[in-house]
Amino acid sequence: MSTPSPIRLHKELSRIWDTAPGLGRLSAVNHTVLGKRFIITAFVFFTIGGLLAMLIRAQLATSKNAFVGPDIYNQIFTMHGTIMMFLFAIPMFEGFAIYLLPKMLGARDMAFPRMAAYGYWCYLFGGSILIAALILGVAPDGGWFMYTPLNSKPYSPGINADIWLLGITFVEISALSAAIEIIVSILKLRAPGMTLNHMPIMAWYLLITAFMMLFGFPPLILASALLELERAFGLPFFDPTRGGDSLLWQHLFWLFGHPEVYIIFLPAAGAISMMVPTFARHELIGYRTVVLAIIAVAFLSFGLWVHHMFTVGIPHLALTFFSAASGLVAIPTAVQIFAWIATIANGRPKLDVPMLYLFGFFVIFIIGGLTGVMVAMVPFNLQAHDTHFVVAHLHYVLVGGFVFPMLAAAYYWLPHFTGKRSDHVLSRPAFWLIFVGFNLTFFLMHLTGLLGMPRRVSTYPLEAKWDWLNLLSSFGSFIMTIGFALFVIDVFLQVRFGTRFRRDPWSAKTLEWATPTPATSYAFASLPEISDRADRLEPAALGPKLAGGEGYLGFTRNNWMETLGVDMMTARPTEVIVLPRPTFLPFWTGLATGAFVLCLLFKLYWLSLVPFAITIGLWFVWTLTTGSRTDSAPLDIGHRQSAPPHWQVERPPSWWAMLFAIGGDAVMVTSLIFGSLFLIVVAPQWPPQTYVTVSPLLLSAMVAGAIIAALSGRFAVKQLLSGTPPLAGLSVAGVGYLVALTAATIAILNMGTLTAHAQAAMLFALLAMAALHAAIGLLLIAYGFLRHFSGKLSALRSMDLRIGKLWHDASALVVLACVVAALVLQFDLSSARLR
Amino acid sequence: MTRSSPLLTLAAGFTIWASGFAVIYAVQGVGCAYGWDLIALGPVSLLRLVLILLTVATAAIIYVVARALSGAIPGKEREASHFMLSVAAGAALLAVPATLFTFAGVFIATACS
Amino acid sequence: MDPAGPSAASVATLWWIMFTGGTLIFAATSVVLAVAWAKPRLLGANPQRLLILWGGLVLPSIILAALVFSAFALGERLIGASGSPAPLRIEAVAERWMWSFRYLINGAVSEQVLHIPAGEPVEFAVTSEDVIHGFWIPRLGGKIDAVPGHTNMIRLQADRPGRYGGVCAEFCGEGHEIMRFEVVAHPLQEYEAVLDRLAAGEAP
Repeated sequence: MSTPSPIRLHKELSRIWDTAPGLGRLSAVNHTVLGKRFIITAFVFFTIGGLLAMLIRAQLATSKNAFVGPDIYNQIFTMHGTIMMFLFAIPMFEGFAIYLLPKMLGARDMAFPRMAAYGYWCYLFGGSILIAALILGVAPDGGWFMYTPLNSKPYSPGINADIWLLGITFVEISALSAAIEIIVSILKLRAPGMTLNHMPIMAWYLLITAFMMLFGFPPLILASALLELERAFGLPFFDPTRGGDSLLWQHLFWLFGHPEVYIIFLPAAGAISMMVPTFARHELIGYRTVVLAIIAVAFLSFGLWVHHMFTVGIPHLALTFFSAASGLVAIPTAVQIFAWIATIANGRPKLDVPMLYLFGFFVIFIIGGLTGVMVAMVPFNLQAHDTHFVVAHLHYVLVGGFVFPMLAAAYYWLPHFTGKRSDHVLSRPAFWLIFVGFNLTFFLMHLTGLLGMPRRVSTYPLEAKWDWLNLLSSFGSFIMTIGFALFVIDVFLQVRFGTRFRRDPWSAKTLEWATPTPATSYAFASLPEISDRADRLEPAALGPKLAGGEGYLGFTRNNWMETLGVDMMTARPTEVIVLPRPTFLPFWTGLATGAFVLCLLFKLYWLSLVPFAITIGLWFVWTLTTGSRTDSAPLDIGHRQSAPPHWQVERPPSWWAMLFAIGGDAVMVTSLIFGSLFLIVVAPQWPPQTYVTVSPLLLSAMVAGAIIAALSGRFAVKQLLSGTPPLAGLSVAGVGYLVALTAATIAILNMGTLTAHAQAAMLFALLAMAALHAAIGLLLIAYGFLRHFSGKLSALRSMDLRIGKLWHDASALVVLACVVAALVLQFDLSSARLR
Repeated sequence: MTRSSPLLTLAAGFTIWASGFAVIYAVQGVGCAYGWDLIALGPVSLLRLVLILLTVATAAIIYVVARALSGAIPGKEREASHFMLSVAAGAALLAVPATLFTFAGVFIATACS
Repeated sequence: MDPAGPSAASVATLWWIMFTGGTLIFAATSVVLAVAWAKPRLLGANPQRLLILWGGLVLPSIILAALVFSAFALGERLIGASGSPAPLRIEAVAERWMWSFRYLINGAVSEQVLHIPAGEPVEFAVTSEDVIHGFWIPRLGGKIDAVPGHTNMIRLQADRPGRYGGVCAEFCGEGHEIMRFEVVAHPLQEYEAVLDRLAAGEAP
């Protein structure tokens, strides 16, 4: 193929990659478009959350203030926390990741563009449900941590808590799909030659953060589902009067909730690690050490969730584990901070607006880290817990560790979004207002906390003498708000009146600055070959070469949206990944999922089956356009090399996606099994007066069915690879699943009452979890048939069945584990107690 | 193992730390519920002895893995596998003191309330 | 912070140590950052080793180890089982949105007002009838949650007779902020008479 001129190549690629205007925007699957959408939507939610914070400060400005009553105030602070955590911080980082990752890695898009679009709609619709509830005055009011029994039916009879549980779970779909997409994109969709040790450091941060999301969110999703089951149907998982335990909620919630803090901080730290080298004019010092530190932080952050629960009555020995781990996590964080300082020391630093905001980060985050170590010490924690000292600490960590780096990142990458540079008239005053306002607001809260002011109170007595501190705090928060308003105006001015530039305005050394700015939908007209660390490039020189089609895939073919997949370790090109064209399907599927959530919210359970079925049906429609009916010879990728299309390789992106999805699923199942053991050992009202039991025959049938399904799923792959139609394997696997599903259904129907004791409820949950896995397996079998009869399967095109095989194997293990846990749950183990 | 699953090697040391954490925390909870702290074995209770053994075992396993990983680092400095294995070995090596630090309480703190 | 009991006093000491240490660390880090920016040569020819190894790893590890182990020891004294058994035990029961106290010595009961002797450790058995609450008398020491279905223990002492404020520390719904109680520490020799009057239903 001959290389066309840069202009013609640009026109052809734009024709293929661009999103249609008008209503066609709803069909966008492009990462540049979706990244911007995530960022802008998250900023809108940030504004709403910020306004709520202003109301909080208005209320607390003086003692005995009657601005709002406790009922409204409880909604305000619950929604402030919920919005900032779930609707601002996580989606904001997802937006940055989706926009930047392909450009940093030298790919044309993320691995699963339609999933990203679907995730966006889930986020938007779920967030809108919460905001609508806020406007209607029925917002969640039991705290963003949703402790039980306060948020159980007897004490929160209204729809408020259901809105949190269902709305947030809906939003989390987008977090999980983003996590899987980020992982697979980083591992597979890199420029040829960009080995893992040559990736820009932010890719490491995002890779590890995405893994943390994958393992951190499932416990919360599970807990939300269990609590919603309790609220809707009376299954007493968390009810201490019926063998449940409110502490189970706390464990599951904080098992998510603490990693969440690092899920928010690490992407920001990744952005810092990109900006500091640019302004220090020196590559990042200690690349390898930083990677090591991120790994340590990621793991340690999963070992300190109980530091939110030091006062719930856990023995001191257990508290020491979590206290030590909480202190320990400061060390890899300190290593990163000193790596940045060392980078500055080695370079020739120049001060610019993003760097100014980074100085703000250094000051605020270090203070937050130090107070973090303080509250990690059990004796001090017992005093400071649930006071404004903790409010101060968490805002120093989250605003210092996320908002300030994101403001810096906004100024740093805004030229990339807009193609224009700012003249920075307002950015410096904005910084000083935000910085001074923030410290005035929150530094004083350390003092109010030490003076004994508890959290989550809307009034406090005059005698407490907290008035002047609170008034100053409120005053500071208004200064901070003015600063944010200046920031918004400044961004607007830059978008509107900024001066244009050619390429790489900061003289950065990373690949995202080699794309045209503002970014084109296809990002790179041709993909670069990377032979050194990807933070030692010359984007200004590289950009024009790539635009001229000198790299890989510098042409168009079949109107396909193509990018390259590489070997995870060697980074040699292994496949041409053909991405899906813009489509309205994610939008419709998101709407159907939203309708399903609304049905659950209004307790229309039978009606909910309709949108549920439509959602499943639409998923099948998604697959109709993928794959191929013919085997293809290796495709030319330029540079006299060739690679097969992704549906003909052993481990395409979707294979990896399934593998990682199973990893997240394993955490969910483990959390459920942990929950049932926890109730046996710790919960009050055990043992139950009567044990609900399930016939061993039915349990064996479930295991047998799932194992048969797994074995014949493997057999189906063998059949296909040997050239036989895989009908026998698929059929037997389907029968196996049907047996398992039927056995589980009969078992559940024969259990009798599920609401009397948590033993029965947990038994139900375990069987339902097993049944859910069998049902998904059955859908994958149906998918196998669909692929076969539409001619998409051959010995060379076997990936659909091999992806199914992964699930069938995993679900056999899950069914087995659930059945074993169900057996344990049926025996009275209390006779072994000495206490 | 090191060839086919580089990501697993990166996580190896701290995955053992996390598994040890889960087991030790679970044993502590179960032991308190079932009264293992009431069974005296010389100077310590049965529960404390089990917890100490688990802590030492976790640290020892991680140390063995760390040694194996550092032994497997290939010579070529620029190769990705060199990078991955040296990070993996470093992480595992750091997980050993992290283990001893995290679970130091098993030697001193009150086991059950 | 105005500690009025041994538990609160030792936490206050811990706080002042951590506050001083934290201020020093913050100041030192800021100075290093400023020097790295303006006069990097002051950090030597090869600053990364000094900064990352010593600043990031070695120094924090030493400081943390010292802090964590002294906090372990203090925590052991405050919430561990060491020490003599407390002579006096009071059950504190939380219910939305009030507190009731039962004195195990003679079965006396009081609501919203807690009577304790001054200069004697008191062991509280704290639980809840409905949602989770938090039992906290800020000037006497740490807090413990009142969790339905569980009974949690905490030991506190008021050094001098007087009146102290108590609050609900864990968010418990609309009445959370008004769920306060008063603590009266009586001189030790008068305490028995106070409980007798309480048991007889008279004003203490």
